[in-house]
Amino acid sequence: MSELLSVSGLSKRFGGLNAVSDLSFSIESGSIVGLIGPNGAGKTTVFNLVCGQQQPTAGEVRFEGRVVNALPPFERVRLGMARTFQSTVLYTDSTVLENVLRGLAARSGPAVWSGVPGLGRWRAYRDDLHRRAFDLLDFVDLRDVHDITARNLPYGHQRSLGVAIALATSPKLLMLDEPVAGMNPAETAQMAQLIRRINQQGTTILVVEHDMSFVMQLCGHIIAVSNGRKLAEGTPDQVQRDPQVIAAYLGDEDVAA
Amino acid sequence: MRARSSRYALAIVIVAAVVGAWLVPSFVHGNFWLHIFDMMLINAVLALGLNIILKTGQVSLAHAGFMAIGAYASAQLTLKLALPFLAAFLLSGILAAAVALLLGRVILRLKGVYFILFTFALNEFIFLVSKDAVALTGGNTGLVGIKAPTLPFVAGSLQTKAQFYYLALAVFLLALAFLAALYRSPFGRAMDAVRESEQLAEATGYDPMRVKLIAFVIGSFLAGLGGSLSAHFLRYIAPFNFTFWESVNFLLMNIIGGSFSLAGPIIGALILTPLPEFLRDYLLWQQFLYGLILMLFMRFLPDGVTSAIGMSVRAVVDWVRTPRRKGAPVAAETQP
Repeated sequence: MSELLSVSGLSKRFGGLNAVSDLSFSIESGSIVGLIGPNGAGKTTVFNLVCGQQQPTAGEVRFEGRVVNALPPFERVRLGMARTFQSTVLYTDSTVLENVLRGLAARSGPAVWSGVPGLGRWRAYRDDLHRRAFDLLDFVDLRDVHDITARNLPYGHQRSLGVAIALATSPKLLMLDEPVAGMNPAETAQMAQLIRRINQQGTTILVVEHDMSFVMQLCGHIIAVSNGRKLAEGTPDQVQRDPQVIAAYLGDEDVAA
Repeated sequence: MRARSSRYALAIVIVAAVVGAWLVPSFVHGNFWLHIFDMMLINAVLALGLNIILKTGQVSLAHAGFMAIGAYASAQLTLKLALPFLAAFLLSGILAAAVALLLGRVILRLKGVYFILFTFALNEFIFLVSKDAVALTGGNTGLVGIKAPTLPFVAGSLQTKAQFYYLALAVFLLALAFLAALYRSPFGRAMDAVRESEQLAEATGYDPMRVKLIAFVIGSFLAGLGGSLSAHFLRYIAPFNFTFWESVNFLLMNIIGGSFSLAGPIIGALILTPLPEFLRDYLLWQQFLYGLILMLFMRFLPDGVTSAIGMSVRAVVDWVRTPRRKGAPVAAETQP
């Protein structure tokens, strides 16, 4: 196993608030890692720093050994880091199929003039793109609704579509921001199964979530943060038994302060 | 099979439209109408230029400003440097595109209403320069005596409105074909993605800034070409041709026609170019009626005329198809 992502000394200050301080962790290739912590612990900030939506005050983010601090989000995606959003961020006025096509088409494509009939390999390109899109829709079980406008999908399907768009970029690391927030138990179970299947295909997964039972069942390795610092790290059992983690969740003033 | 037959239908419509457009000067006589048809084509090129900018989600009110850059550049290049028309024409587009490239890097960071306000101010700035930089623009008097276009291998110049029509039509068709290819290409999909959600587009590997900048440069290039055409058609340009109201007009052409297809800005130009002329008989009421008609369009066709055409075509197609389905089983519509 090799290190896919490593974060060292990561800090982010907003004015006087230390949202993240001196956080270090690494993610092994092929694993499912959970990032947990109570509300306001800095999970989402860590997520945004890793994706490039925000710039760290200090520290380093390395992907496959390469420092990616200076890269904007779209270039990190091209390296193989994809993310989903906490809320359902979709192309809401477009069909489900078009949503996935846009994820697929971002990185590759023929030149402009191939759109002219008779020039280039436009049709072969388009057919290939559609085939890959339907494969992905099969994978997330959305083929039947491929021609429905995204905004009209049920909530659970919208979240699956969000994952499908991210998968369309062929990521090595898929980062999921609270993938089961607002879901009922049946939808949550389906999402857990989908994430496992993605992982089985060789994609490394980082999940930010505060649904504890979901994370404990899904992840092989867990990093617990509170007040922007790492509290504990290890297997679900180790983390669950850690007194600092228990204190942070139940509110022990001595430890959490 | 359905897709193929509708593609043939579309091809027939396009060929018929091109042939029909080509024949206009053979049937339309009289300078008044020819003038309007020439202006329609020039305006259509400009409205198409704005359409590609709108396609990335940026509403520019500086389009007439970029038109002015092209118009003044083309006029002066032919008047002062005696360049042939075709060279001046292309250079005017390139100059407008270059200005867009330099400014775009900065102003395309602005979003929504801030971009609109900035481009409004930019148009006013260009308008003021055209009034005050007298040595370059002739000031309020404008530039007179701009030459009619000349073309290589064509004897004489395109003096008449009928001759000019073919030049404008050729430029319009080239612009349309280029944009049609561009919108079909992966870059077209990128523009749609950036317009609908910049956040998601960026998170799936698109560079929103680059997409918006390319669209802005291409749109301004077309604005420059349109400015050059209008300068050599009217043979006279002055600052009042390029006020921000002109920018609003190009925006209205897209809105009235429908900004989500290439047919939209064209139909908008066809409707809005002659409209003030029709209303000219009611001089006192001209502005009032113009405004009223625009409001009626927006009230009853908020997605533009093309959406109404699309709906009626679909209604006709469904109506034509209905009898054939009578004996067919109902379940034939389910997806594989």
